[in-house]
Amino acid sequence: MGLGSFGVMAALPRPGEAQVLRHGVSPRGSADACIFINLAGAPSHVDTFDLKLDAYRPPSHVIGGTSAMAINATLFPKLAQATNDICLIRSMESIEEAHERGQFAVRTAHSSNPAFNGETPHIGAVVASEKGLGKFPPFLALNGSAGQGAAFLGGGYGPITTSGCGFPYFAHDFYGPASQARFTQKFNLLTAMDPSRTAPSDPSLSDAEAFYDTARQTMYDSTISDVFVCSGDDFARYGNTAVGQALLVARKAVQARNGVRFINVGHGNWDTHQQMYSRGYSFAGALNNIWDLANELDHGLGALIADLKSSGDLSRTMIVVMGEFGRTPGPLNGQQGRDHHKTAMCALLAGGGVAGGRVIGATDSVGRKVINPGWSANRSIYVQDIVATMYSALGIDWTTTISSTPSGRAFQYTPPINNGNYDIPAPVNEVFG
Amino acid sequence: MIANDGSYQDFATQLISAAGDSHQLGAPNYTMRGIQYSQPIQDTWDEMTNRITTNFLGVQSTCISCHNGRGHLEPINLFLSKQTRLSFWQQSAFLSRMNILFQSSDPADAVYHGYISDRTTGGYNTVLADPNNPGPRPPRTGGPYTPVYLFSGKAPATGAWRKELANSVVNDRQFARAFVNYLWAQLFRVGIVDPPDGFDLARIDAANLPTDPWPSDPSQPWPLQPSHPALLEQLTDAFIQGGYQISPMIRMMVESRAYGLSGHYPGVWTPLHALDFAKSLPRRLTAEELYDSLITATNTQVPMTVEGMDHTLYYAGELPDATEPRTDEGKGLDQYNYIRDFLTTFGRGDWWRTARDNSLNPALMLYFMNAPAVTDRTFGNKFQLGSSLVAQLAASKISNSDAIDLLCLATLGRLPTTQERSAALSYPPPDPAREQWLGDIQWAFLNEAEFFFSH
Repeated sequence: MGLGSFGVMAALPRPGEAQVLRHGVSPRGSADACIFINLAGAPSHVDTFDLKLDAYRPPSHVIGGTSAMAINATLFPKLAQATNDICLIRSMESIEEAHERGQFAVRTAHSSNPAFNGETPHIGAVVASEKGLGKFPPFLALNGSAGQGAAFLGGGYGPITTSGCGFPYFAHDFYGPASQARFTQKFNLLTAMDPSRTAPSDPSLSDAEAFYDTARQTMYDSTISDVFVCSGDDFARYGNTAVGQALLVARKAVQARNGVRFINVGHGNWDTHQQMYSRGYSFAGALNNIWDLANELDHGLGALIADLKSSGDLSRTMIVVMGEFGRTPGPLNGQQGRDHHKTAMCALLAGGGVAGGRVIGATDSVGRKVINPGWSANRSIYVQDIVATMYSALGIDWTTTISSTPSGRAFQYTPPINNGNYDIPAPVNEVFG
Repeated sequence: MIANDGSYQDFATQLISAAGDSHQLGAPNYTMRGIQYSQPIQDTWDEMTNRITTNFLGVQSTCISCHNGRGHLEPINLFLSKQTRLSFWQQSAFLSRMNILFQSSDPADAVYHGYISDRTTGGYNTVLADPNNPGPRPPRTGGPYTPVYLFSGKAPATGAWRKELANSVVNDRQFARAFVNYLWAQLFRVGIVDPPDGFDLARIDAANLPTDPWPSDPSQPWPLQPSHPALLEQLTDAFIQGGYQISPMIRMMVESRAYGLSGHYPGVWTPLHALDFAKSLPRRLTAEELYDSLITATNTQVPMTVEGMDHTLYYAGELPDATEPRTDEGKGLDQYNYIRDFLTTFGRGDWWRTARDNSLNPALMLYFMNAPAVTDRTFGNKFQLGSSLVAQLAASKISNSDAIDLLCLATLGRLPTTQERSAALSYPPPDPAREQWLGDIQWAFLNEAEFFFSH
């Protein structure tokens, strides 16, 4: 298991106001946290959230949802019953058609650029730095790496990465019932011994001491450690899968309401070039067919939406589900799959002020290109617009620019879209109620 | 080659011009690591060009792989501000006759097996194999281009372009200058030119001062870039005259008075003092250094199995690749796969897509305080049949005070301070085992911030 970072960093440099430019927009502020489900590999839009009824699907598949929001109920049985809670965006485009570049855009809202990739933070790190650090790690990456860290924003805003349930390091659990007392004794010994605490020879040593103190504060705190403790019943309700486990932890983190702001949930292998409807088909040892993948996602996502709604947390938690581009429309290819396609893709949003039962925009009859943007900007929606929507919901000024970067080049939270027109990103306010 | 004090010139030549099977030879893996999978081939040439100029000349040239220097780089790098994208393509053309055949050799596409060779024809063409995948850089135009060495304007004398490139690089004085500066930065934390991969070649030569106005103060010319230009040139001369052997250079630097300074500075410290090398600047240990320090301090070396090696390794610094040690989860000698977990956690990266990360953060401190991969090593009865340092001390008749000295020496490389000794001696021994008391003392030494740093 890899680890990222979290906690309060007293010495962490925050962008000074003099180095930050904002255009003074009014973010919506309807959400406290975002669960971002990254469907890496790029799901087929015409088989998922921009369903084309004339497209191929196995004869046994059942169409559900509503007339305005048709959903393949064999792939997504729970979501087909939850149309009142979800919003589908069907007028999206990507500027990329290669996975790595597309994923970089999804993770950062920026085009991949060799000169700047290293200093470009993940959108979750931007959220963490904007919302500040609290008791709970503000940025979680579950079921795989977030793919990008905090970069120049500082390590404290980077992701803590874990598969999901069972993060074991919040306790020094080596002495049975006496563990906490023994740990306290040992930590007191450490603080009494370490000369760096009283006379650090360099700021890097005093930073390290601050990190130790922050880490110590998170230990033996059940409101933190319980987030990563999952019962068998929970597993079953979320599907007993890696993504289900991650979504379960995401729910618990949000419900804990003690500082989590952005949760990246990875769900990969949607790159279904072949045998996409062959249930059980795997490639390189992992499921690689839309049937199983959609069922996995639906199981966990359906439970997540239902649980958050039941607990009253859905209204303050935005859920975003998307991949990096769409897939070729029309008939399946010669290998019974779909290939990369960038002029049409889709996303699912829910919670955090998003109006359920709503469909934004439309593509043509086969899903090749956008014919109705369905929003005020009257153009296709790009990942930068989705990120601006998310930032707005979280109360973050999406026009912010930070000039104090390592390269000296300005970092824009949502830069102009590299689509040839250099359109300025904007929140898709039509998704909100 | 390096371990045997061979020539760094020969080493660099082998890497730049390597041909053959990447699973049989080491050198081709330098190129294998630079392949831009799923991108146009031109991006592999360009990426490798940037790596070669960065690694061996201390010049990051990637900026001009996308745009001319003019209008972009004037505030950053005077030399590069006068270079063009065309000149980069001509530099990149040295690599354009390279054939790279590769295939994935594992299900996760994390390891590629490749075979590298060179054609005798062709050049840097700008035609995309797949127009729908233009890659990360703006469209290229013109061509095909033939090689011109960016730093001298020299064209290759033969058609063996990569060998010609290697020859130009290793015989460039900047090759030696960049190396000694990298070495200096590694040992002193700050380069004489810093960052060490940020050379501005127009501002190196004290006898040939730039006359261009300095953007920060246009009434003045650009200043020289090295903080100690004469020192840098003397080190460069010494490296060249020494046959490009590395170990004499290391010896020269570590025997210097500046290297012997401690991390404490008696006066008022400002960051500018770092350029004067007025004290030792702390550097967080790399993941491998941290692991090796941990197992050495606790005497808990674990045998590691490595793909393709017929002998056992014990130290992370010996591992040939970031995919190693490759042992079965919980079944191999690497118990519970602690080692890879540890190295990943502390930022080893994958030497490919995930960069090394030597930062610290609270999550790492949680790990170090609480993970069995660390803590078990302070429990004499849990690790390696009682061979750990704690177990050995517990079994001995040594006094508590002497035990504290030995634990501190083993862990921090020095004797304990009065404060440390006093705190440790007054630490209540847990009932019943002295071994646990010793383990707690070493756990505290391990978790002093100092342990994470070379300082």
